[in-house]
Amino acid sequence: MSKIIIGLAGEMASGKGTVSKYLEEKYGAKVYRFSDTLRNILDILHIECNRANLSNLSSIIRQNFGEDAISKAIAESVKIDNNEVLVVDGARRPEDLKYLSEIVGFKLVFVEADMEKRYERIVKRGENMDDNIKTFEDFKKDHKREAEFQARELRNISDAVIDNNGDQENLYRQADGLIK
Amino acid sequence: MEKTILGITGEMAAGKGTATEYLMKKYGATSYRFSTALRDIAKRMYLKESRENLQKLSTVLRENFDDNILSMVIYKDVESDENDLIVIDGVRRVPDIEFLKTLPGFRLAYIDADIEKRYERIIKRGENSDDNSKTFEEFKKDHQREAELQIKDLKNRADVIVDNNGSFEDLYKQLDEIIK
Repeated sequence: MSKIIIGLAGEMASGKGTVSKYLEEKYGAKVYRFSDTLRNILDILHIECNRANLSNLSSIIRQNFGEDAISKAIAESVKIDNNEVLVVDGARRPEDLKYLSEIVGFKLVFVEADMEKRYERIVKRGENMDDNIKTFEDFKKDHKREAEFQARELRNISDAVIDNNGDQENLYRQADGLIK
Repeated sequence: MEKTILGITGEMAAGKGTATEYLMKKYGATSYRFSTALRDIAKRMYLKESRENLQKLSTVLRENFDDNILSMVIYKDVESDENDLIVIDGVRRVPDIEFLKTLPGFRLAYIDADIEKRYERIIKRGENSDDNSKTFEEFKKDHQREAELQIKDLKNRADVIVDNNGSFEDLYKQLDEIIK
């Protein structure tokens, strides 16, 4: 088997995390997140890893070292990793893929689900403190933000789209299809 | 033995590195440098560890997080280090000292040597690519830079001044005195 690198994109709570976890457990995939580099840097600096600090660090790095600096870092990590299945979770903008897409075996997968489904899931998991109390209206408003808008654009350049409006079995079967 | 945290400062080629190395070998000191965190970050981003990149990182991190960010990193690293003797090499700015002074057991040692001696040494070691060919006039001019000017200020704030115009033996004897 040759090396497979799967970039995962998709809107909030579309099921990216579920797909990575499945690929990790079933195929021994090594999972990277786009935020790994930023998290490591915050750790080095002993700065708390919250959403505000991550976003602040992300903008200052992109402003000072280039829009593609984080994309370059993750691509380097992936290149030297010998695992056969690699997942890079959380691509948000086309520049994120600039270097990854040049690596042989890379494909971009967009995970998709209706807004109502995703809202249901985000309420259930309560990943961020303020997600729990978010109304559906707030949730819809979040989609107007630049970052979420750009995330949707990745659908157009994706190599595969996974439909996650069904049950987990359904999702897993589609994930299997990516590996074969 | 009580915990001793020794900050080492001094002008270019005064002998800071030699002093640190001696304390590590003779007393098993652990050492920290202000540039360590910056180098770790550069590595993590697969950036070249050039003076330019490190300087830029330092500037943007201080501007966007905290002016004392690098002192804070060292503070936390040192605080969790159980070693009896800890050396902090390359303290350059007055605010850094103000910050580190709050560490229990902290003392600042200023390594002093005449400009002619230091010029001799910098030519000999050639640590940076342009060191070997530097004229004495150019070396004198280097001292006018902001960072170097601040170092002179640190002499007044030092707890102990080490004279390094003599031999290695002279230097080592003075360091032994500090540790006792």
